[in-house]
Amino acid sequence: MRFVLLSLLLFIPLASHAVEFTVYQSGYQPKQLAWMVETDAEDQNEKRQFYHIVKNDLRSSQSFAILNPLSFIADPISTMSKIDYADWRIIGADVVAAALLHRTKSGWQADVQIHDPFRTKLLASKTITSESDILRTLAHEVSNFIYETIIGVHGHFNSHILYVTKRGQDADLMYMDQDGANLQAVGKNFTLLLSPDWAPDGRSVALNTYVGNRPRLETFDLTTGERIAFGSFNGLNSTPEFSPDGRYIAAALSYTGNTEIHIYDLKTRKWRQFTHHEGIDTTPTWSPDGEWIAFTSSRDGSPQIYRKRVSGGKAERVSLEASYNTSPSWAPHGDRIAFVTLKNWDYAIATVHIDGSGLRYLATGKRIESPSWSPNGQMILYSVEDHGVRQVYRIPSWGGKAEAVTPPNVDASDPAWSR
Amino acid sequence: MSLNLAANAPDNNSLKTADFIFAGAVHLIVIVLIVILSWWQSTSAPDPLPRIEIEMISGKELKNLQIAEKMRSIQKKRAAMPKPKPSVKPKQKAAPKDTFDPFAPVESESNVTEPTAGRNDMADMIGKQLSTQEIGRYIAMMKQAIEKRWKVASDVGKVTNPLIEVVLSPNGRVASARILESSGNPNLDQTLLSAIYAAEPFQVPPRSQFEPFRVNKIWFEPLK
Repeated sequence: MRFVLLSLLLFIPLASHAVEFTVYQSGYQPKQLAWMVETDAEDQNEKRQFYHIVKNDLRSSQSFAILNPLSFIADPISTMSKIDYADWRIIGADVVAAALLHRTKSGWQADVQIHDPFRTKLLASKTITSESDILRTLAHEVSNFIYETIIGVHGHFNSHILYVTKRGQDADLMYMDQDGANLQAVGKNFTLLLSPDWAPDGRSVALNTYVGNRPRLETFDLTTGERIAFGSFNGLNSTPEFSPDGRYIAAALSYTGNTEIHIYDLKTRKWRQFTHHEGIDTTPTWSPDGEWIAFTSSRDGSPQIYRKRVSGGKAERVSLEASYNTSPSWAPHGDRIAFVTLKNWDYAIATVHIDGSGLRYLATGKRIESPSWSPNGQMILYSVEDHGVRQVYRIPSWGGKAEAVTPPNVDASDPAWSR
Repeated sequence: MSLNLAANAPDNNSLKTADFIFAGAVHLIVIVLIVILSWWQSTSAPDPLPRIEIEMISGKELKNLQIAEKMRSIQKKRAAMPKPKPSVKPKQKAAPKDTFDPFAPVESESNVTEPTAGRNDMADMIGKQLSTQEIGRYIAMMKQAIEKRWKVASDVGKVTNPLIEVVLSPNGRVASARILESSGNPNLDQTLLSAIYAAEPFQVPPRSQFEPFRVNKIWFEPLK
């Protein structure tokens, strides 16, 4: 009896004791992705095209590093029928994604499986179809599916980008898919073209152009090319931005004698003044819930970012560091604002929490301007001068490498990512 | 010369005993001197420089190690208590010493046969508790393995520090892992589980000293 009690006393503390420690995130790391496609024998070109579109999408997000298929031990068919996870652990694949692509009567179908070799389980599988003969949209859908399964937020691979190209005195409005495909001029020969902003429905754009020497605010229909002026007051009419519900456009006007933020109601076609301060207020941006507007103001002597409720109230300062902070752009997930700032003596793109905390510098450069978020808030577009030519770059909102998205040697500025 | 010596010899005869005493005394003095000198040498030899090891640990770890220390002293006291019947475990002294090398390469096979299996009797457990430093080393190895495989590949927004409980098998494999406190972002929580499964098998002490590592509570601190 004594022995039993003693042994119990000895074992209880041993069994209940637990080691406890903390693991710190040192940075951001891409997931190693093994990606592969199989098609019928006669569709080898389509297979290659499909493979590369998805690969390029996922790689460009910088959330994935794509493993070289030459290192694969198993083929897509065997992987999808009976996967041996050890084959994939050995090459360090964090994620295995395989697709079977085949033609249907009206288009294409992709059967996709996503596996985690370390947790040895099928994470998701889905059949994605396309009624079109064009593979590109289907491939972006597959990228979105893989991205969302692993990263947990919607993929942005079926989104589009607008930017402005200046040629002498004229400017064109350019349109392309987020991966640079389908590049085309959708609006030509504007006399100056500044700060285009997508309507939430993606059909039209609000922009700032000039007629003669007078600045004017217009909406531009992307399908019909119709231009409707909605703001042509004396003085400055600039930086229009749609509210998240698409009903209002906030812009900076100076007809009152001072540059203030005004809000235009597309339904009633009436303007109302939003800010009332002797400082210069410009570049408005809406919060995703439509309740706040952040803007640049010189009310404290230097350009700084403020936010103010649309319903009214006091403006709260957001940017707390540097003597120059402009061009705010509110993130779609709502908790950060991207803006242009001064880091030491360089202009930089940075993001900050809406309470001013967590300042994160992303990139510096000459004439760095116009940050614009991807619809899922994971990437930021901006323009920067590179060897004398302005180009549009993108960078993950959490850091990472900046990458040009517009062709080199062609002027590109004022990027806007579709919502 | 030889004659001279022979002539002096009778004179020296009378000094013979004193001579012996004198020689003996000289020897004794010399020996004592050597002993004293060598003793003095050994005591006055400079101590080797103390080796100071500095380990960076968090407050939580420190608390944890203090608990482990306390537990060990309790166990020592218990071990000092009279044993009920020595005949219960007659083979305990025959157990060979552990030759565990914490820097040996990590086993990569899941069906690892434990070299120390079958020897985890109670006395062994008490007698071979890990020192604070050894525990710290195993924790550091686990920490490093998880840190290396923790891949955050997106902006996770505003989150709190999540807590995961990992139950290990004595071969270092993960028996179970569950989220005790979520970060508030389910995707970030998944990256933690992925990291833990990608980091196994963990380098753990041999079976006789494994017990403290069976249940592990791991806090994660994402970049803010």
